Amino acid sequence: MYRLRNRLIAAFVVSTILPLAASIWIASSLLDRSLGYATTGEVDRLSRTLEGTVRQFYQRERESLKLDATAGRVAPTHFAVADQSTWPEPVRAFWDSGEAERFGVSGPGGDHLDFLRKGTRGVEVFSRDLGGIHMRELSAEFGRTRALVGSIASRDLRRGFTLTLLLLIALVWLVSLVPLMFIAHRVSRPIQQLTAGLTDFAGGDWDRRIETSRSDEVGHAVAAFNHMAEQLRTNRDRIVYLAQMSSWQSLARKTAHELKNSLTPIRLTVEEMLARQPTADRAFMEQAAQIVVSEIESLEGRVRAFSEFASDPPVRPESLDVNTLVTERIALLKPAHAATTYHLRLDADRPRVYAGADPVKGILTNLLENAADAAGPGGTVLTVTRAAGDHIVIEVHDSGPGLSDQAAETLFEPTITFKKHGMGLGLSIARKNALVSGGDISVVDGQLGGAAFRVTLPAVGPKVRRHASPKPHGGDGGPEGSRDGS
Amino acid sequence: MLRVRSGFGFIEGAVMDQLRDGRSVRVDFALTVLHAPRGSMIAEARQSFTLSFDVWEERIAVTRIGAPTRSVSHLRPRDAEAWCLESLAVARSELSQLTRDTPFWIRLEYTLPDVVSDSEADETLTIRRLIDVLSRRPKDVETGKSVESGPFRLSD
Repeated sequence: MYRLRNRLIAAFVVSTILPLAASIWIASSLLDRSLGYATTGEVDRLSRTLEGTVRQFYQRERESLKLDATAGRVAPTHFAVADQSTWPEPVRAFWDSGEAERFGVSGPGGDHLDFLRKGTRGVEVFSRDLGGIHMRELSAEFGRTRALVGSIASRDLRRGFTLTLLLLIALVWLVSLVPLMFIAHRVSRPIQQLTAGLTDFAGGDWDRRIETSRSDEVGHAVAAFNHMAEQLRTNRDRIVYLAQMSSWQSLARKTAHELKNSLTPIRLTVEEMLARQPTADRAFMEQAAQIVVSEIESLEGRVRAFSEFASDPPVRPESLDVNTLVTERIALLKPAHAATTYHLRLDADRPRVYAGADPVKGILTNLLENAADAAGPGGTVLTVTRAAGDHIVIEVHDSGPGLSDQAAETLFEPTITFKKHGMGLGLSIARKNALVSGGDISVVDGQLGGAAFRVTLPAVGPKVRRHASPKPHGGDGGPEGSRDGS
Repeated sequence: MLRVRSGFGFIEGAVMDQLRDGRSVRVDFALTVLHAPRGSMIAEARQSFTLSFDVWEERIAVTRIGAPTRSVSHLRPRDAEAWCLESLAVARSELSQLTRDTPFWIRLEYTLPDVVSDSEADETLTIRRLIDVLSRRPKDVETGKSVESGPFRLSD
């Protein structure tokens, strides 16, 4: 599941390893060259040479001083045994050493050479200026130089520099890998979610959606998936509904046919029975026959409704002015519901739909009549029209008691009625007509406290205008006609 | 006092080279009296010395570390070694558990503590320190020696 992320990381690794290796190789080569210029060897040789030279000088000065002292050319400083407590430390150390004579340096920085000789009365110290040569300082500098040479000799600088370089580069590389892994995870995660969503959706989870807050290409892909899933689910529901309707229509057609076949002979037989009855029982028989015929007529009415429900009249889509249709339907219904108040909130742009005139009229008649029935005398019916993208919305609200949850669930199923009159097929037919026209009907929250239905129908668009042919019936003469027609 | 006279040479080889290069060398001595070879300890004396070299006179100076500090200079290597051993002694009182004829063993050992330079002592992680650590060669200098001998008796 992490293949994309791993590939991104692998791409980074592959694309950085070669430049890194080249950088290391170049740095190592430069390092090698720079170490080749190191002067440690020269310093080593020079210090040894200087040491030998200074030692020769020192030995010569020693011999010279001793000769001068022996020849009496240099006056000694006497340190008497009687004054031993006042002797300087070098003199006392020499006296205690058991040596007969000793040389040493004295003075600031060791710029004097001393020759110490034991005598019978004490110690004689012959001293000579070394002409500004500071032996102690030379000794200290020699020691520092040798320490430096020794320190370098005890190290493999090439290895040290190379390992340090490798270590630092590896550290930087690893540190840069951490944010890359984070970024790779961030980039691949929504794609991973999208893949999982598509897999689930393909597996039958029609409610699967993906949440994202991104606005880049991946975010657009996720939004497109969500939209596509919603569209597919809606269309699936519509197809299922239409399939159910088709089954119900088939059943209604057969039932109507069978009932009609039975009802006609029954009616004729009853009438014949009435005609052949003696005069004495005629009054009773006429009354009985009237009851039977009345029930048969009622059954025939239902059969007609079934037949109408089962019929699939051809739909001829055309450009229709919705506002005009709504106004016209209300004007037709008003006489039957004189005590009902009708409010209109119609879109001023006079929206037009591309649908069959008869189905749309049927839908509006059904919804408005239902609303008027539900609102009752003194009630109110509100009709709203407006454009919504590439669809036109028509809403019918009533001030009636509203719909129960049970009613809302089975509202569009045929043969179910909650009214005293009617067959309970009207809403089923209305929704079927809406679906066939490329729209739908749904229940929405009512603005008047009662029920409310929303009809969506395809708006007239450029494509429709281009392909549709003008129709003389029910509209304004076709999609190319004036919006002010009808 | 129990002292060791004939010890062993330690001012030679790398130690001598280091001294000739003008660097001082610290030597830590331990003289241990044992009941048996590698046995339990009866008494012990420890002493440290710092050796330095007069490059022009080619003589060694030795300083005994600790109170009382004592120094001696102008010594040849063998004399310096002898002076160190002379300064290392186990007090007779510490050998009270030994009778005149009780055998005992002596272990003499010295170590040359690694002289840590300032750059090595610095534990701050810097690139310089990293290079320093990664470039060090393994040291092949003998850093100590131990000799055990016996049996001895106080009557000897």
